Amino acid sequence: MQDHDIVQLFFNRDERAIAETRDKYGTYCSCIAAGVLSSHEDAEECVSDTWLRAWQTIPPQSPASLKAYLGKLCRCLAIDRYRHLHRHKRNRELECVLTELDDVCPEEPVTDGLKEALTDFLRGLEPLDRDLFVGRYWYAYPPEKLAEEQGLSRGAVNTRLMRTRNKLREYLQKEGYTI
Amino acid sequence: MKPIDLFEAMNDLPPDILLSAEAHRSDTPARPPRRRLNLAQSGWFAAGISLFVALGVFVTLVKVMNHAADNPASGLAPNGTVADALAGFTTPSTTSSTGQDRGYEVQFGFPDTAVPLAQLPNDTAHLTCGTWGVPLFMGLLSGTWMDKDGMWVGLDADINPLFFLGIETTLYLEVGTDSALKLSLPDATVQNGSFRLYQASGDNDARLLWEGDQLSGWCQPGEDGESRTLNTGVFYLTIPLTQYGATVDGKTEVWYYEAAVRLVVTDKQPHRQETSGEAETGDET
Repeated sequence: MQDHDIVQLFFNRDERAIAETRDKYGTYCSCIAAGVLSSHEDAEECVSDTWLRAWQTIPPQSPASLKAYLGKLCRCLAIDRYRHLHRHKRNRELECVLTELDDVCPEEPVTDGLKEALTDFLRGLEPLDRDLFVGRYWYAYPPEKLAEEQGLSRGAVNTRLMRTRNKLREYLQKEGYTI
Repeated sequence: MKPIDLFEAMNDLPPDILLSAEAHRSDTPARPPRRRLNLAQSGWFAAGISLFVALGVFVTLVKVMNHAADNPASGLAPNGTVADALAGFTTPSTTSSTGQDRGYEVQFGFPDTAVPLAQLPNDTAHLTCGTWGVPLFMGLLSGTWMDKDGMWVGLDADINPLFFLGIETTLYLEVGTDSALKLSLPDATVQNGSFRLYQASGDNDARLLWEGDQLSGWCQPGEDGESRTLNTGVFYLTIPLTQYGATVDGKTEVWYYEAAVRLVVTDKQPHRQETSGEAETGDET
């Protein structure tokens, strides 16, 4: 079923929308949740919450890309759950991701300007570096997975990620952020 | 700003960037995906099959041993004394036994339940800390028997019915509303041998109240037609556990094991957990 047909089911308040969404994007959302949460059970609950949140928000939302919309919903929910659980259950992979991001963290709070700067920065990267950056810091995939999928060695992936982080830090500093 | 905040801020990246990375990842892998995952799955599958087959063979062997023990001619029937049974230790049914200590060496998580009667605590007994379980691959009862002070005090039997390859393992106790301890025990043919219930009447002395091949026999009305209950007091339930043999210098040695369960029944209204079937008594009076 096409995405716009699924969205139409949501608009019609047809519960088949949940089943169709689960069938089409269940694996995708599970990967996102599993990247953030260490527990399989937590990840599955997060994915289930994603369907519920989609049901609650469509309408009024009418996402142009249902896949991206669901991915964002799932990631937001996973981060919320991570914040709730992280005192007791630490996701080692995500801890690594956050440690790496610590090098490029501005002292200023998150603003729309920062989000725009991140977007502009990523658009200026080579596609491979951009995909690696998004895979690592959006999907929280481990370097091994990225290396396998991109046909690179793990060392090459880590090197490219490090260089990209350095570029990001310089970019943000030029934009006036304190790091 | 914390890293998690920056991580979260990336939620608002445009969909084309996210999907570009995802599409590149899923649609155009730079090289064929490795088969490592499939191999791993196959390995687990093979391991599971192997374990299952080994399990079946082992259970069969155990059953064969039990069947042999049923034969009176085999000379394997238990012949322990009351004191032995109360002590819950090994009763060698043939010669050359290494003694009761051997009972502690049984593998597969066999509990250290064999405690001489004289060592059983005489003070408060809470029948709440034990947990019974039956390894799938043996008909042995196992569990922990320690109270909060680390002393063996009694039984908390909570075994769900488990029918696996013919092994029936249901066994539980419950406290009746009349302040008596009812033995409510579905068919629990644990091992060959007799279950016996004694009432303590003095130091290292006990009176046999009941004996049966199956614990469920206790639940059946007695000859007078009344249900069996236990009044207040201290009781000991002996449970036949297993028997096995070993060949040493061409001679087969067979041991028979029993575990003694100390039950303290008081007048105090007991607490009972409906869901688990746990039995608990109050302070001994």
